[in-house]
Amino acid sequence: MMGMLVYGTVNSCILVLMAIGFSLTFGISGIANFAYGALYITGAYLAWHFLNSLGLFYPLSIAISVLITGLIGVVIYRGFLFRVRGIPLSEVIVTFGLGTGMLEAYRSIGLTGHGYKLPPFVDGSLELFGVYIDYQRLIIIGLGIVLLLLLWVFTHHTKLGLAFRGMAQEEETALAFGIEPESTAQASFGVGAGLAAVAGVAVLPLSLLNVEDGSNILILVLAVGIVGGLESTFGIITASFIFGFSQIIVSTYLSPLYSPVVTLVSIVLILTLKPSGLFGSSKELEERV
Amino acid sequence: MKKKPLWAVCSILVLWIYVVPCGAGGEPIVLGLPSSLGYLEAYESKNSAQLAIEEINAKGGVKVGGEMRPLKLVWADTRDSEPGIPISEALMAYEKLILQHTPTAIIAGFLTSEALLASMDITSKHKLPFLATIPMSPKFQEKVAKNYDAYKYCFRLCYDAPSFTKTYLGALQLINKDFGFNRAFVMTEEALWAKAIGNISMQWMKKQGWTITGNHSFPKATSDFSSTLLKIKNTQTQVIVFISSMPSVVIFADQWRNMRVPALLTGLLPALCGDENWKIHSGKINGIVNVVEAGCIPVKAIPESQAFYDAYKKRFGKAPQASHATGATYDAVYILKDGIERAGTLDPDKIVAEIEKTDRKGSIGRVRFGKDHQVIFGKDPQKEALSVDFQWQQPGKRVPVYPPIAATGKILLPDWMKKK
Repeated sequence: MMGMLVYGTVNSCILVLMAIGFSLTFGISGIANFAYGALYITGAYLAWHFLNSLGLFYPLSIAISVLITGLIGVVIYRGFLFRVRGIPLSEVIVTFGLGTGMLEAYRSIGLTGHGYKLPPFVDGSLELFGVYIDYQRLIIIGLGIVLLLLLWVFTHHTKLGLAFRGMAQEEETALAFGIEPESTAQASFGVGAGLAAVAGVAVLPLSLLNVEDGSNILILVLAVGIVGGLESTFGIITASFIFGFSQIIVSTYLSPLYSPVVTLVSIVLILTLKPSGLFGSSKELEERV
Repeated sequence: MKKKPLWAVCSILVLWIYVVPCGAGGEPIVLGLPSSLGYLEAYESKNSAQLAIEEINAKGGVKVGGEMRPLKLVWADTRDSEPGIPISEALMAYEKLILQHTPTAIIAGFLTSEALLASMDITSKHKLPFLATIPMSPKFQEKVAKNYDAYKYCFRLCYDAPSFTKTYLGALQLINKDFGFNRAFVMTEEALWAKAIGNISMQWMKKQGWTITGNHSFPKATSDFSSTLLKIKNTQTQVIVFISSMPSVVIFADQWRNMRVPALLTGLLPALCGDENWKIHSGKINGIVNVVEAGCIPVKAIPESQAFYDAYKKRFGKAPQASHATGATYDAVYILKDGIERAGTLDPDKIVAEIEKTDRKGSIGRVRFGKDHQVIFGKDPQKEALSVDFQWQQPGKRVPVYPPIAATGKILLPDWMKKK
């Protein structure tokens, strides 16, 4: 039981870390970034390259890769989404196309095989409540908490963060207060992409770098977002814990094969019963009607 | 007047480009290699085919009816192993390769058994000798045996699931003998071939008096195995049988070590086969027992495996990293060369008849085909082809432990099990 509690918490924090950037971008710009999975894997590949090909210090490799991935997010917004913002179908097509294109490009330049692995931040494991757990997973828990706190500080005490919140609440009113929607949306895209890279470099040392992960995590992130409410940070945290624990319970008492079923059934149920998600408000009016 | 030297230089350049690299005259004999080239076994097969072709061409090429002809490799990325790519697309890429380049024979071929089995009709239609070296389903030789006339063009050089399993079970026998372990937990990736191997292993273990403490299948994209590992710990499991070709084995192995699960990790783990894995995983794979085909690991009893291993490393800058296929594809090119030379013609039926008579010492051991066109695997490389159980041991060595003729060491327990 203690093992389930410990690893359920860890898995939930991993999901929070993965989904938070996607939620932030959607909450502010209203764009569902389907290139998010590709950005997640991009951050990890860049860190691997800086570490192994250029021999940079690991923390520096991570910092540069997060920064570059954030800039890629900005370029995606400025170069491709700027003209189609507000047309949901076009936004989805553009981001999905770009994400798929990036992953295919990685595949075609040979970023496949079993040779790409990021080292853990700290190696080894410790015994916690009678359960052995590795330091990397504990760091992920810590990183998730720190990131949420930083985001809170950022959105409540910085000019750009306040602009983010203003945009998230009501774009036209925010405009009336002098908040420029396009540049704010662009910044949210950059921050979201950077957060995707943070998740990638923190989570992928647990595995190998694999192009397919770019597609796999997108499904998880979407599931968390849909169930929790895409624009709600509290919803993302709640949904992550629901998934984190339900997956480990299902794996333990039924079979690991049913874990993906839990994810997909949850999406269908929530879309049927409460399309905005547990804590979302994007379709609140329609739901009331 | 000024244009003449330029014209002459161009002519020499063209001649140099087209004639010199061939090292042999005559029209090239084209070999096709359709496979999922983004994957390790496939691109290493392409490399080893290229290596064999370079060696053969350097010696003058292939003698066909008194004429020496060079070999030429063409390939197509069928992507059959990639998610979302239907088999029909892989087959289209295969047929396009055939129609565009009109190869004389096909080597390696496809990553998945599903694509290989589906492609056999196309191979028969075009009457192309096909030496497969990657997929492992026994359905392949069943099809050949059942309908020889239709599928006689198809051969397979790599180990199939039953011969792989026999080698693997040898390791379990050793573990039982050396440590008295007889409680196993079986984990298989959600794929038919993996489940088939898992089932064969379980049947054998039960007959040998083993207790199966659990049997889990898991999705290919699994990113956390903690619940299964906790179960393994709670059921006093002594040996984990893990069958998966997916990178998720790395997550499992990491968690196994970090959670100090007191059970020996064994199985078919292609992601942890190549010699570079020790460095990639900073030595954390110490103690894992794995299976590999000769050629992908040098075996003392097979000098040809060492020669191939060294030649590959010299040519491509690093040793083969795949669990199988790399050496087999190299051998396949030589088997085709010998078959063509003995036939003295490019007539596919005559080549097939000669390939059936193959008896050659290659990098995978002695290569002979059964009536079902599956290469015969066994325990003695003087008589059969060989696969090997090895264990990762300090300081980063792959130590062959089974069969006895290839063994250079014994299975050791991980540190945390020794202490217990």
